[in-house]
Amino acid sequence: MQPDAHRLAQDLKAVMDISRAMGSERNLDRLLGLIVKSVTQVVRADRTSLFLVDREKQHLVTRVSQGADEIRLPLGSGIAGSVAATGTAINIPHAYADVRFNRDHDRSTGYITRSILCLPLTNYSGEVVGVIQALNKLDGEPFNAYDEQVLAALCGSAAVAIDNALLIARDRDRQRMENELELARQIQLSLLPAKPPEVVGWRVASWCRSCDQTGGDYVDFIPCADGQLDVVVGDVSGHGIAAALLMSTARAFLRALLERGDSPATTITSLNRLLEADLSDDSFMTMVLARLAQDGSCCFVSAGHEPPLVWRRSGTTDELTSSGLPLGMLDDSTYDAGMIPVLAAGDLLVLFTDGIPDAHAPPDNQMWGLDHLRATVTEHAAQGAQAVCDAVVAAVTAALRGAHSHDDMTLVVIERLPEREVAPMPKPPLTIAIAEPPASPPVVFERSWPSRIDLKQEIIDQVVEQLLTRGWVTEDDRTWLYLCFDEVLVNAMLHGNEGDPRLEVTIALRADEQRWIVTIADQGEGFSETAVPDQAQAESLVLEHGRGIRLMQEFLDELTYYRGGSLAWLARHRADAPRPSL
Amino acid sequence: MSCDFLMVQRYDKIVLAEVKKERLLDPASITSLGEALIAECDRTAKISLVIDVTEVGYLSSAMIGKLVAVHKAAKVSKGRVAIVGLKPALLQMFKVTQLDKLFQFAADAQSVILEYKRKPL
Repeated sequence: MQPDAHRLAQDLKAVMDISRAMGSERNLDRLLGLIVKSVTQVVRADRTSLFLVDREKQHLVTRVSQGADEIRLPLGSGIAGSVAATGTAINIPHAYADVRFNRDHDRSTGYITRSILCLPLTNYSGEVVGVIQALNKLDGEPFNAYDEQVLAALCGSAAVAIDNALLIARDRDRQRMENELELARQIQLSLLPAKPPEVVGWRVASWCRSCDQTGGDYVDFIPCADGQLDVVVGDVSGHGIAAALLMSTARAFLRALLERGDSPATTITSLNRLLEADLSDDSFMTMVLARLAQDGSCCFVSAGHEPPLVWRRSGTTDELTSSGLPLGMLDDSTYDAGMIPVLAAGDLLVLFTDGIPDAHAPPDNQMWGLDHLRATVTEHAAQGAQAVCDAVVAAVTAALRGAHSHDDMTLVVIERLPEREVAPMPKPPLTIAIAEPPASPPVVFERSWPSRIDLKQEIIDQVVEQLLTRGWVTEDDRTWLYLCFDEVLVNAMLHGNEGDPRLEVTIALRADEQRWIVTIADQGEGFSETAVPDQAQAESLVLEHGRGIRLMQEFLDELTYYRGGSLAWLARHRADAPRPSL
Repeated sequence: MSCDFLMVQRYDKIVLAEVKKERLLDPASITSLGEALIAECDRTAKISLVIDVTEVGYLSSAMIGKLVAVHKAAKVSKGRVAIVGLKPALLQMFKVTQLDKLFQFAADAQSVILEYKRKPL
């Protein structure tokens, strides 16, 4: 039965108004509420329900339902499920006479369903995104063909509006997820070292790239006692958020354990026990911890990690094989430390995660490989840590040919510095001349003493007093003067004169307008320069001898040995003379 | 070997060693002081040794070398060494020879002892 013209115009206007309103509503919940209310009004139904299709679970779920709790139906089941599955409208004039009608809902709620009009909500691409179901026309009659037409017109607009709102909601969810991932990435980045540390005796270059926003690779530099440095590289199974969380946990545990000052082996054994208790069965982490000492020695512990490479200037490249299972596999795993023979200047230690050798790209998906890594290290090793790091990164990037890496990649290159950079004690030239000392100003004080070490204090006191009373030195110089004269007198008495009290040391004091000169002569044979320890050697930092010459050179303007080493010439600018202007 | 110018006070593993001598130049003093400090390191595992040299005005390179030996002995016992009260000119000697990297330095013993109490080895 067709309605009169007035009703038709009313309904058409209602549909257009509703369509406009739906088109401007971006919030899905409010949109669905508006649709249900509009349908109820336009077809003059008692109740309306709106179902949305959950494609993943193959379900139909009520999002808005007047007078009912949430209803969940499998696609194809029941009247609404059939409409969703077939995309065809169903109009049931007498519900209880139709076998497709499920009476359970009426039984449980006490509601009596008489008539049902159920239409699909189909989007632009013909996909059913939901179902509208109107119940019980208010006038007691079944829904008619006109109702179907009006509702179909409304459903067309509603489906498009729902599709748009769903896209917007998904986009918002994606945006929120991206924001959260970015936040996680920022947090994880803050856990990674901003730059390699500066540490005496070593130069460190490093590079780290995650294949996802968050990574499962771990790199850390942790200073420890006595100027030692712990370098850690780890790789969590998998990647993404879960790997990043595990990496953060491992980092926190490791840093806390290192505070205890245990050995690397004990530390990694404890870390394994802690991680094993927390990790699921399919999660684990490989790790290598290298402890670098200032003297060039290094020990390492590996928990199933890629064997680090040691490149030596002698031309060899060795792999440091793994010493234990990955972390988190067995709670009673124990780990042993391996010692790396002392690294000499220019030698390199290379730590990395498997993302580096395993880098590959279509179409052949050939892995870049350990051989390429070794070759690249060897080729650029002479240029130092940073050059090796840059070269490996460039080569791996080229191997990826612009493809996205499938794994996180981390590289740490540690270079043993040349000795002069280890202990930068510049050594001014120490001259030991065969000749006699040069013509010099007249002697103002001279005296000889027997080579008796017990007289040393008295001699030094006298010489220092001579200098002080003439105003050539100040009280502030006392500490250094005592050190210098002590040094030279000990050499003269014990080494030059071999402690023989019959032999003498003679001290003479002179000055010109600019400088004072003290000469200390013994009666011995002198000495060669090779007898003077080379303070610039790295090892000399922990030697107990060999600093005297260097200390004297720090204070004196001139320290020269004449007569083959048996006469020491000590000179310094006079405290009472103006410094020449530059 | 006893050292008659060294006063030692022990607080568990923290050992305060005050050097009561102005000149650390003669071999006998250097040897006795060095051996007394090394004996403290040998006696106490994980020692926190605080050497107070407030009264020291002069030292020789031999004494500096002996302090390196003390540092080694402390390291063997997994300990640490601080030198406190060092006069600026003497501190300069440690810096010239790069030994400032080997030791911890502080103006007075109190601050180091408090730090060591807070962070035991």
